[in-house]
Amino acid sequence: MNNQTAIRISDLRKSYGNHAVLRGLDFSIEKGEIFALLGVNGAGKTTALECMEDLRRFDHGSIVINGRIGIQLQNSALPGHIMPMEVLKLSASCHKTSISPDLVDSLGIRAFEKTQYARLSTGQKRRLMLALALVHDPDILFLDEPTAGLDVEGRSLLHWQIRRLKSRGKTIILASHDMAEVEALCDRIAILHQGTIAFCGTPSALTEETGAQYAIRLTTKQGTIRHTTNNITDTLLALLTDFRKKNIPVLDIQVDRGTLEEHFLKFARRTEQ
Amino acid sequence: MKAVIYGTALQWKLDLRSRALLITCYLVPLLFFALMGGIFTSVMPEMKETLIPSMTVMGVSMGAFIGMPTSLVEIYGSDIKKLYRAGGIPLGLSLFAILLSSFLHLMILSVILLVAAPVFFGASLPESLPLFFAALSIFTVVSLSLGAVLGLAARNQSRLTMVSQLFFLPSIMLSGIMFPQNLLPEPLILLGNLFPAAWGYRLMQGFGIRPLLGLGAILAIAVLACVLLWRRQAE
Repeated sequence: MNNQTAIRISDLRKSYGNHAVLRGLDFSIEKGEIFALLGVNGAGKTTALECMEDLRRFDHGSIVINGRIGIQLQNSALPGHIMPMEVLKLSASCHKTSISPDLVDSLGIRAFEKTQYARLSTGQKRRLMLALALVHDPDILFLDEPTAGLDVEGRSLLHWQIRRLKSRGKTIILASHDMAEVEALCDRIAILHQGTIAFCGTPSALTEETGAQYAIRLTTKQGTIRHTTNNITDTLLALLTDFRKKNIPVLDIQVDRGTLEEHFLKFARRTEQ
Repeated sequence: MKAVIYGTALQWKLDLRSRALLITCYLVPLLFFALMGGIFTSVMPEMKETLIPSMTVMGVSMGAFIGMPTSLVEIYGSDIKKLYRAGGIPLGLSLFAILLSSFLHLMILSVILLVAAPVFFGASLPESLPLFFAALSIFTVVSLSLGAVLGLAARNQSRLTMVSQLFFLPSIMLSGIMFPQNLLPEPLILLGNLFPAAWGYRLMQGFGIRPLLGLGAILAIAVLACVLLWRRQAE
């Protein structure tokens, strides 16, 4: 494992009774990247994450982690009567550190520091969970469905926080069902299928893998024309040259290659077959 | 060490905010004391001699079997356990903090009973207060250890409620605090001796080897059960 690798997973296997959930995972995550673990329900995402987080024992293989980890769980709960600053102080004292005022301020914890956990909104609970994961200034951060149940403003705020953490050199491992979120945030993705890694690479590499064509939408005064192509450069050049020759001004050009969600579904269906 | 002190102080505060614990550790035992203390001492004046140990046994048993385990199930029977592990908060710290905090609450309850019983019902004070508190501390520790078994074994609050009653009711009915144990048939006396209340009641009335051995045996079994349940929790 080189110095740039944050996590290296080799031949990771895990079964529940006779049911093999992970069948030999092999991949690595580089320092400073946002890496997403994707897969349909039951693909083994949560088990893989929990093995990496040292919350679940695995049967075979190895996980090497290069740095301190912070964990934000998908299903989180705290005693109903506890207040945000109390649980942060408890976690900080267990890590032999103190709470960073910047952490509390940037996540807006002060606004609800005297509110008992049971009375916090979903967004406030998510922010508190993120603060708990960050209280000891970890190098690697696991985020499991961080924006589930949040409104648009809450999601936007959390996305900003995640980008801010990346800019500070943190490695972030994200598990999310929200493909738009993954597309907006992640450098690389891994798709789990029946306990194995079916794909590992950048979102654009997945687009290439699924063979998605470019959809060009060109608008002129005479109307809108649509083209699909594999060769964006040649097609666009030919179309623009043609309009120029005919002296038709182009008002708008849109190029689309589909969303990550479309490519993921296409890939998942293909893998299933 | 800082984490242990902060964790225990925090648990103390959480217990004070929790209505459930206040009800089972203070309100119900004190209401029971107010009601039964009056009835017992009016109907049988000789009960004044045993009112303090009997009410203390009842209060401690209720707090240890019904009150404290709810705090344990709240953490160990839910996602809180996972979150604590993820947040680097040792699971053992929560168990220790809950037990220590409950011990202190039950001691406060016992002191209230000790002070109130002579004032309101003319109850006799124990002959030796240091020995009484030593006996009380031993009995409380043993009761809490058995309560910890309940809290670690129960997977949810509803199951805990059922199992807690299975421990609490025979513990009180067969310990000798409601009526002398020698009036019970032999099998029920033996059954009563399986619970700490019977031995604790005897120990608080006079230090002796047999009650100490009885409590020691229950403590050993409870600690063993806790270790086994703890391993299950850790997995």
